[in-house]
Amino acid sequence: MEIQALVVDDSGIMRKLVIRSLLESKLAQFMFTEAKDGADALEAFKSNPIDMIFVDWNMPNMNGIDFVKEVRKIEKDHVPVVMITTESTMGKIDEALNTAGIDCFIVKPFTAETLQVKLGPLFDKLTEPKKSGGFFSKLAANMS
Amino acid sequence: MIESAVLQHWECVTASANEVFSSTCGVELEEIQAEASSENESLFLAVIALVGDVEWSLFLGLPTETAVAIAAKFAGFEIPIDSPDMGDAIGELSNIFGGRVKALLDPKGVKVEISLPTVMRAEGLHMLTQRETESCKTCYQTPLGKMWIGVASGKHAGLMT
Repeated sequence: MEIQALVVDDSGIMRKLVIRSLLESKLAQFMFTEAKDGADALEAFKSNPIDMIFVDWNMPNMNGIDFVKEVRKIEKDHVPVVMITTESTMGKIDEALNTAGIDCFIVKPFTAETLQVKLGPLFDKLTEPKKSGGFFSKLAANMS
Repeated sequence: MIESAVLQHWECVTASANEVFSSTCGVELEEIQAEASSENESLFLAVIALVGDVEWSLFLGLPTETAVAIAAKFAGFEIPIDSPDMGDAIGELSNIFGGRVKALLDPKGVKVEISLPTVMRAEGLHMLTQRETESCKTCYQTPLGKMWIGVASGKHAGLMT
């Protein structure tokens, strides 16, 4: 089964690095939609079936935190969001995880191995049957 | 005499540079003595503002050959020098560099926010200090070429003008 992933970063190079690392991680089969900032990403989210989001924090137009808050207002089922950012202070991590509802926080720079380590538990948690709605429940149902 | 904030926390800047270029590009930095780039030496200059308990302009200077090599290492593919991706790659590297400086300042009680990076192409790198500003810079030799890092600080509210 494919995961439709939305990759959001104002750096085209960084979007390529995220995509390449996700493909190398072999955590899942991914198909990608890209966006260059939060506003662009919000439009992409409204227009495309998105199963998972990988988003930067500091971007022009709309930053990653504000984008995720908008997603949480309009999503039908919980969409897992992974923040990939240079921010790394405890205050920022707490804001992302506990205020904005980010599911996983990864500090740049990262490798495919970093993604395997950090995202593995998230994928495990999300594929537990009946523990979450939406795509990952369907994935779990297909796997069982 | 009270040590300036730049000198007091300079090790956060050098530690960040060493960590970031080692982890992103696999290069070790060797500090060398070099006051300024050669006249007419073409280079890429990235600037990030750190604003909060200190007000710094943090910069990264890469001669063109170094920039091309480092960008290719970082991105994992060759980037033409005139491609928008070159500025993007240098900007993202400086973004990671600035983020790491912020992270190293934080446990010292120095809280800052960082700006988005500005990347320019220039010829020659000369730090022109002005009244009421403090600055520090250093030059490194790497297997991919020479590079500079530096900080300029404004004593008054606002960035170096």
